[in-house]
Amino acid sequence: MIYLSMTLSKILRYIFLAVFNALIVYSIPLTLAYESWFFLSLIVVVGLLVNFVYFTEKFQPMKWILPGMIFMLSFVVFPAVYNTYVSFTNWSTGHILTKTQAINVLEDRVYTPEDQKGIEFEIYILQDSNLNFYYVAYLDVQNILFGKAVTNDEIFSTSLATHEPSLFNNGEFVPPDGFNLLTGKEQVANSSSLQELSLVIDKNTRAQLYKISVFGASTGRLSSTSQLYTYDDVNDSLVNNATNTICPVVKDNFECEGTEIEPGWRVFVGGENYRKLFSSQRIRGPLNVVAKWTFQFALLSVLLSFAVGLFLSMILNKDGLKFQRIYRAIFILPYAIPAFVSALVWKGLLNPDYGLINTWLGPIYDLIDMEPVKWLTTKESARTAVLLVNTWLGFPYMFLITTGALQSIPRELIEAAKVDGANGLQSFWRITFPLLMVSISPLLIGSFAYNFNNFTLIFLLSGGGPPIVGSDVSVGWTDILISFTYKLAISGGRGNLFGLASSVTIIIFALVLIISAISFRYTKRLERVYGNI
Amino acid sequence: MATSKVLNWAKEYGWRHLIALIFTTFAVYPILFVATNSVADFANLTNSKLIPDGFTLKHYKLLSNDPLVPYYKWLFNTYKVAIIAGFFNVFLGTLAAYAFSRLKFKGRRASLLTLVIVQMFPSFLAFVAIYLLFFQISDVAPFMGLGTHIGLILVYLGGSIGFNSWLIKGFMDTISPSLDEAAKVDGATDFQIFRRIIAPLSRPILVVIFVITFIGIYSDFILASIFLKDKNLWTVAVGINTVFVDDFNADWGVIAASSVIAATPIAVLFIFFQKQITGGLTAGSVKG
Amino acid sequence: MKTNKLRFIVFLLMFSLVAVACGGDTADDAAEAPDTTEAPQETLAAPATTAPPPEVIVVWAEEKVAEALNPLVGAYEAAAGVDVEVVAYDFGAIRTDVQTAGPAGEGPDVFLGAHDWVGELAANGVVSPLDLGSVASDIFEVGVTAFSYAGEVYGFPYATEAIAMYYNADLVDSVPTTWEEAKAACDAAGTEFCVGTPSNDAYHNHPFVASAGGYVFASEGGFDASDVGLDNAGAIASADYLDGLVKNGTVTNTDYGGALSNFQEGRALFWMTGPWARNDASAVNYGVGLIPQFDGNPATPFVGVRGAMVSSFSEKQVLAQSFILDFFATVEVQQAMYESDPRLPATKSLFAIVEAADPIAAQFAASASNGIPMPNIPEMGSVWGPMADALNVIRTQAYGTNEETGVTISNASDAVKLAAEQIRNAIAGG
Repeated sequence: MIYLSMTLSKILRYIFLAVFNALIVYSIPLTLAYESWFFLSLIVVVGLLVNFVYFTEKFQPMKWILPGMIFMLSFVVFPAVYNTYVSFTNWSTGHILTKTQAINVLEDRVYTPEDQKGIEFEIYILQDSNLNFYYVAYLDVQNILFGKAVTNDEIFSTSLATHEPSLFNNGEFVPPDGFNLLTGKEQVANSSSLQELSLVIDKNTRAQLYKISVFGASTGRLSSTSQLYTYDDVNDSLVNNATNTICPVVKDNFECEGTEIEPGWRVFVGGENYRKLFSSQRIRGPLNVVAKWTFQFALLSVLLSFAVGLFLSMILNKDGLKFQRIYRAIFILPYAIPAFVSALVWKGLLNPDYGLINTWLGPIYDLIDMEPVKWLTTKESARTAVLLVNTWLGFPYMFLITTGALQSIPRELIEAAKVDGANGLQSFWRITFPLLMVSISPLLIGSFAYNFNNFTLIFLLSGGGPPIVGSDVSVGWTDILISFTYKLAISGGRGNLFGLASSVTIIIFALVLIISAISFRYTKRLERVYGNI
Repeated sequence: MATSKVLNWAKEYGWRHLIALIFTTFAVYPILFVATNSVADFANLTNSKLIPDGFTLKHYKLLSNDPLVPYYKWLFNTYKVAIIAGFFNVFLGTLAAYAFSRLKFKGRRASLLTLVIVQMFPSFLAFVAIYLLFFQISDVAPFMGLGTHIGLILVYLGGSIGFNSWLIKGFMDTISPSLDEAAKVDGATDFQIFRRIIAPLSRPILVVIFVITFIGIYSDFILASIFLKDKNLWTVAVGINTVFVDDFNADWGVIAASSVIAATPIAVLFIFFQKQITGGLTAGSVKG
Repeated sequence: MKTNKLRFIVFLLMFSLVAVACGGDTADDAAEAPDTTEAPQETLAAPATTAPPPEVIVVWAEEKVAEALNPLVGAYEAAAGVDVEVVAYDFGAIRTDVQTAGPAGEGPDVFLGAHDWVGELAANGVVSPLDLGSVASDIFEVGVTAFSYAGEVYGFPYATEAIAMYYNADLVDSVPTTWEEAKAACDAAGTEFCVGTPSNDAYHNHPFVASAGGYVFASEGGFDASDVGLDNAGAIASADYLDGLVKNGTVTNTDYGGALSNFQEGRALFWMTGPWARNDASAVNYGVGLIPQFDGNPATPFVGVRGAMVSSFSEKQVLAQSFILDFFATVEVQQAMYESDPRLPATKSLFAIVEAADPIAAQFAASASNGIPMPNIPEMGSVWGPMADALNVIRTQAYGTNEETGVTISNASDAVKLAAEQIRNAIAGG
């Protein structure tokens, strides 16, 4: 019997797969209907992977790895791919829409000739028995205009509104027979249709409902019968109906007589952002300083917090130590306070004039006859402060990890070393530390990468400052690459430069990649020390 | 005799206490500011005084009583999301780590490295991408779309598989292979070995990773604020940032009080969790 | 083994198909869902007498404003037969999310934000012009100017904000009209610090560069990015003046929190900041006055204006406009909002109500009336950094030659000249 030979886990697995596939098959038409292309590609990739891995026996290990990988694909790899895509576009202020969206926005614009601007009048909305809408626009006593409200397609074919003074009796509106006057509430309910309709007053002028009033009469405005812009898809250009000019496409905007029309749209620009990065003096100038400091900052942050964390976990890793658990709980506290709160507290502590750090150091300054340190206002003091605070923020993580990892180190080995005559320090360097590095070293690299991009700390604590006076852009001594990127992105002349900023992150990733590759090569040697891989 | 006992104590334990106390000061001092400000009438974290004038519990009262600030709901949401996401994070990481540690396959190191390196990508527009993706997910599967805790939990699961599995793998590598070989002889499947032997023995590192993930999610603001638009679904970080932080005008008293409320259970739980990290490992179960 | 697996694949496929078939109905329903959501456009041509489902107006507002607005919208919902969904949002996130969510078809109809977003939002095509019509006459001019961009108005202003000068009323009676008198008052009171205001912040320091004729961008009928006035004669005179104030200890180097605690602890006599700090200032007995003049010129703070805007991706343009103009802009709503979330009124009618009851608000309003709106053009992004850097150099007296760039800044005028140069470069070469 075939079925009996199946183990329970296999049956469960197949049931799960069946349900999974059913869900995928179920979702695909939905994603098509909603035009959800991101989601569609995601479920296709995930669906194929899952079926491939769990149906075939070809790649056993993937059965273990795939569940985690799926989430990584969706929420780490996908954003990274998206980021890379953006780095090849002109995405920036004025260019965030697609071309179709930009044309729609532009074609929605109406215009009002100067002499008709600001004219506001009461408008009454009627409906006949065929449910057609009619407007009555009370421009003034001589112009009480009545007519059918039509959509844009019918504007030039419909009859013009007529003057109907009889609709008002002593200033009171009297709806004509056969017509139903819409209340404000009914106008609101029909507002989506009404906003498309116009009362044509003459060849060039129409009245449109502008403000529905539920407390009084609604208000109308005059505008030209033609929309401001018409898109000509044959010539791929825009026609300005107010001035009768043709506005051709110039790269990513329509241009009317040399003036760019906002909004523009996103286009693929190839390597332009990267070229700009390497050719612009504004960017290249400070890059040297910033890159150097970024390396120093990331490296020192990791080393300091790791040293403190490891030292503390070693100190507490002692049987019979009183208050051991309390100490451990205290040492993770800095990690449990939101960073934006602690960064601010540190900012206060470091204030050169009244911060508590200088108050404490006062006697020491006196003793060695030194000017009090102007924390965060000079290059050296700001960099020291940033590192100090980052050590405070980072050591609990290292402390936790090393405390956990220390448990994997066989005590027998240490005992054996002791028997061989090694003292505590020697057995630490010979046995504990190398073994620890096997499992910890990737985390140190990860922590390096994290600090390489530790925007939050720099932003909250120093804001990148103090400024490097005389640079071509606003940049500070504690700015790291990612905060410099941010400054570039938000101060790009005309607003935000997302495309350019994304290309910087690609460069940063490339740097991190190179450093990691070198570091991992080194850790491979470490692993061989232990010989398990 | 007594002096040598004291000396001995000092040599074995005393200096450890001394150093631990020094670092306790370093760790706790800035936090004391937070604590004292949480009971200060006019809280201001950049105070020049540790003990501000005027003691008040009004910030705590506001968090517990104000109907416009459903703080305990936020706290509950935070715990819910952080515990579930933390648990699955550890679970998925452990599965992957088992493969990397115990199954021999080609490209093992390369794939592990890839996982770790991909995680280092500094996506400048990550939240825009995630936002756009979830608009689409919301249309097709609203139960896990924007505005739901499920969607948020899913996103958190993507965050740290690479580092986690490396760390767990490193720990698993130290568990003696003789244990699972013996089990294999007895006819155990991979999954049974994983569940009965390897996973339980990795407990210390699993607890550590859970704590780290938990705290990370606890303090996340950016992702959570993209997802949660309904006040009743907010997490603490979203609620506090949205309600009490303005350009210049942050209500530091309430923020401090919230920080205290949020951090205390973490510290208390950690005292009890420690047994899981450091206790219970019997000698011999680990490679020797 | 082979057949075994094959059978299971067949079984699975069948199972999948069954599952799909069972779910088929719902799948089809849902698949048509997009059509039904777009359907109202067609079905709305239906008779007005049959009640279609109520229209929904989605409003994004920062949390405090949302809480103030929420209890009020009920009246409009009843009168207009709509659902108004006020979403409490993180203030800064409104600006970014409107631009992501709008084009994706998920954005709000109406959103409440700051006037200095307008240039960016309009350039990106995500905000619709809002013709204020008859409402405009009730709005202070600064509010309309603030929301004007490229010849159109983009929002209804409901609140303004500008800095003024707090004083410790236990130590001094009022804010003197000149800085010399302010310094003398501090000396007389014997406080440790005189005037507190953050150093590294272009917003708070704007009066120090703009009061004697300096300006960020020329603002005749809209801001002109090609005309940067941070290094004109007036700006240099103001910067030199600031330099003198720093040198004689009138203005001290501090950050926002430091200025706050110095004032709260009675260690600074004056504090230059905005109306949001009234609660913090109330730690002492305080009053508010105008910022002292610069050589007879009134101090010109930056004015921030908050307003209601319509998303251009809203499919209910008229309804959104109506919600703002017919409901939100009415004095009753404005007053009710003021009462639960007091801000300086942007409308004359509300100001008339508030003025008498709240003399301190009137002081802030007077200060705002001397100010100019923060430029709302996207180029402003290139200004904040260099301007803050220059002011920071003056405020911290960090003059000297920079080791890295070799550039020497020996006085205040060098600092503002350099800032203006950086801004021009950024705008030219962005």
